Amino acid sequence: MRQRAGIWVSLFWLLTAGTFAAALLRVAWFTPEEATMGVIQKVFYLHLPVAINTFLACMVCFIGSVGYLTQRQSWWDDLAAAAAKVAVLLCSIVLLTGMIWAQSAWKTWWTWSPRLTFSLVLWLLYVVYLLIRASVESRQRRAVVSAVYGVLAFLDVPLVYLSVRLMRDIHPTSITMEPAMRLTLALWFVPVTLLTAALIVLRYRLNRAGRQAAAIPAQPAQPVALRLMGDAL
Amino acid sequence: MNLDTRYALAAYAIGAVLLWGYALVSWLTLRRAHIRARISEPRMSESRP
Repeated sequence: MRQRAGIWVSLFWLLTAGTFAAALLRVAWFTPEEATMGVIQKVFYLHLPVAINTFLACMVCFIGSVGYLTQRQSWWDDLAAAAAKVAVLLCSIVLLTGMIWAQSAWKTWWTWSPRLTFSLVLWLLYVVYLLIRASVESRQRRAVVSAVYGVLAFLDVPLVYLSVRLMRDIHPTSITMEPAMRLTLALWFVPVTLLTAALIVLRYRLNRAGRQAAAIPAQPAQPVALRLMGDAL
Repeated sequence: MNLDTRYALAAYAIGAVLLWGYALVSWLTLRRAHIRARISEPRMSESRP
């Protein structure tokens, strides 16, 4: 059984690395340059999938927080904490790649446009989430405080998404793309989403291991799907 | 290589290093945690009455 899980793990990482390499090759050699922006537009193929996965990680944190507040089971708290860490990582990549693109397209690293400001606020909100977790000593109190905060922090996600539609913004809303460009974008979603899922599961397993090492009895009500995913990674 | 190409390369390098670097660090830490747990298992059973 364990050997079988090992094969699935290897296959998963092979698929992730393979699609990542294929997506890189496709961007470099098989995707045409956009007419007005030129080569710098290619940053978009990484920027957008990572941004969407940031929202997904924030949503997992939100679900974990709501789950903990309603059921008070420790694994919900561990899931929310894992997703928050991944959300900070992904949001950092979104901000950095966006800044690089802005320097080339707008000739400035940063501008306080609504989309950029709400994205920075999102990053700060989840950094503060992690700081709160690190600063509260009592495990139960930490779980409750961070769950309430995790629910509130998620409110910024729709603001980031809708800001370009509801407010005047310099940030592009949509780009006209040729079919080859659309295929590259679709291809990039595969490794980025797989990596996001893998990172959340890895961090979740680490949180569970940390809880067990601290000799606090783990809750047995962990769902079978998460346990199997954990074993597979 | 023009400046825009360098910027695009830098963006992909940052993305790849952060994503795969974090995955590698998390995987190694989890492995270490499992090894530690396996080492401490017999000691725990020995200490039981």
